[in-house]
Amino acid sequence: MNGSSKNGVLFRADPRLKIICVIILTVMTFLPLRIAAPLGIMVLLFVVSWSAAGLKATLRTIRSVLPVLIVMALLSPLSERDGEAAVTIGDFVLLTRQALDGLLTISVRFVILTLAFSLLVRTTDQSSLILALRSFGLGFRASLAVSLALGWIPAVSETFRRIGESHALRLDRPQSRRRPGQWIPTLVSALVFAIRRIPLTASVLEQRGLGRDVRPTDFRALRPFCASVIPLLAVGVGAALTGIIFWAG
Amino acid sequence: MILQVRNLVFSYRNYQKTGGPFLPPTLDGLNLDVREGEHVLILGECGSGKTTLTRILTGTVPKYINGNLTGSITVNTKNVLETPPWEMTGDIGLVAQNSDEQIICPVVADEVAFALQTAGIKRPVMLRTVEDALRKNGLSAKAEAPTGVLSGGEKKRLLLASLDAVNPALRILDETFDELDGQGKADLAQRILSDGGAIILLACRPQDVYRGVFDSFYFLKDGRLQKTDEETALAAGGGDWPAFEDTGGEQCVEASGVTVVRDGGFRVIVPRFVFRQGEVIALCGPNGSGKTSFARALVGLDDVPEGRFSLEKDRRTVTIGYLFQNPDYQLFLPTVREELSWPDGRGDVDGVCAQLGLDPSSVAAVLSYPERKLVQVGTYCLLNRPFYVLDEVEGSLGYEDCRRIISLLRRNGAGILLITHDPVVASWAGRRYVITGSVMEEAR
Repeated sequence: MNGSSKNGVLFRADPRLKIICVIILTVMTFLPLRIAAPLGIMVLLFVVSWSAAGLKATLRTIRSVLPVLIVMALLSPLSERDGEAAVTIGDFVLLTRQALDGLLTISVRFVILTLAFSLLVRTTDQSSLILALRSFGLGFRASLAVSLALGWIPAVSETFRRIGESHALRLDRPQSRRRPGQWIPTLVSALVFAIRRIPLTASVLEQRGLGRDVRPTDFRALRPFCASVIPLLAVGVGAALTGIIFWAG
Repeated sequence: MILQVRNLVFSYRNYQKTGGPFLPPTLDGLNLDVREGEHVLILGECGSGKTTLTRILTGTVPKYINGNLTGSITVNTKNVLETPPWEMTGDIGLVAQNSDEQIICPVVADEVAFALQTAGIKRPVMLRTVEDALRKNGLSAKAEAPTGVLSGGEKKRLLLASLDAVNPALRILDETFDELDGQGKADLAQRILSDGGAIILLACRPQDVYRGVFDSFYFLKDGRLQKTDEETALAAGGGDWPAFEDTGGEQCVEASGVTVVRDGGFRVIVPRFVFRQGEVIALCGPNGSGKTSFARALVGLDDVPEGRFSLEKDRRTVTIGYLFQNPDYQLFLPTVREELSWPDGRGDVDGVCAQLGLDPSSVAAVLSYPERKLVQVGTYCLLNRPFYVLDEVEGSLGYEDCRRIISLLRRNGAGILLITHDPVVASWAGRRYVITGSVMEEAR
């Protein structure tokens, strides 16, 4: 499988199939399985993501949730106070085995969901994703809202980058790495810029006919879903079997 | 009549602590009649109310931008002030001055198709219409490209294609010629002549390409339209501008064997580029040829995979001032004074405001697009860099304003690189680089 190019299997797969897979994975992740099952899924997803999006992008995705994982780890000693001691300082039980298990389970679930959704978004162009959601019954306006939201996030990120560049261009000395607090003016500027665009975007949508009492049509179309049924079944059965094996084991 | 405007008066809401609830009227008793198929050119200086007029005609103002409006507007017998904008899609369409405000879809073809989707057009018809509109505007090869990677000129073409797909009875073009390259301007002029629909073009300065294209000419001044004739209109703001003299200087930025690569997939090869302090040089090339990408590499915002510059990347960022094509990416503080004072409040803010005709206490976000450009210029005047790159500075500004800006920036002997599509602006440069195909070389 050559997934690292945009012609890879995941990129070519039907977006409806990918959404169903993500839903199956999400459900599986929350089944009361032994930790080995979600761990196995996480490793599998990591390998798939590596092959589809590259190691750098995969690590970046994990790094983006690292702060949340760290906070969870810091709070974990407070969660399960009763039980077998896992880490102690003198007579004081810092961390119980139950708390450690809980932390591991939640962290693995969190990474699985992050990797799965990031893979879905990375390997599916926005219009295909919207079409897939529409084929599952999402209305035109709701899908437009999703589309605008998906566009808004990178737009804010792009604005953030440009305003950051603009700041850098106005400094007297080359910029060294900025302290966290120094991001605030750029972030505030980017948000103000994005918020300012909202009324104009609303007006543009109206000028383009949004609000008409006409059933909207689709410009793009996905290929018939039956073409995706066989791989869907294969993936579904495979996932279910894996789940059963781990659960039973 | 396709359009009738009667005694239109509009004042923006006043967001400052002093004064009444509304600012002095931007439009003050404006009247306009446009016949079916008539081509109207409205010329107005920076901040004269051109964009306000387009926003009123298309329903953005006062619904989404507050203000006090009186008068009447009829388009195709519909009262604009009482009819929802979605019911006027086939009557009136706009290409906005700032393309980024109008592009809503992530992919080029989807943008063109959007209004057809909301109109419930059947898919086979939609596919044909979109294909035709893209072909007419030279964007067939970019149908599946992300809209975010288009150049300024390509974005204008995309908005024109979106209008072509809907084919409204009246098209309003706000400074639409500005970011188009020479061929794009000629094509648009030819299409205005051949399409047969009514068109209003609003522009800050006349261009030669307008000759023979329009039927009626107006100046927008003091909130009203003054009728004029073609000769007077096309001569307005013109003049025999000399090239800027090379004042000499010690510093120099050079690039050798540089290759610039961009998301859109293109690459520009720059065998040799020399930029000396004190001189004014120009960089020209078609839309999407890589002018802005080279500028970004030159000022140290982007890396280059091959070649080298005589100054390190970090040093270039603080040595070369770069005025982005879109000023909104460089303005982020509430008032003009705060904006010009960032980051450490140095320099003669009031003096620069006086030179640029700006009120330091005004709210930057509610200034007109050209005024925001002037604020952008003001920030760099105070930085006093030895080099500046001006990316299509003439957009939405008159020639006199452009010359004033260039003179102001080089008052201490700075070198200026003008990225431009305008032959008049390019003629002010002592030397000129041109991108042909994928190679950027000095024109002989």
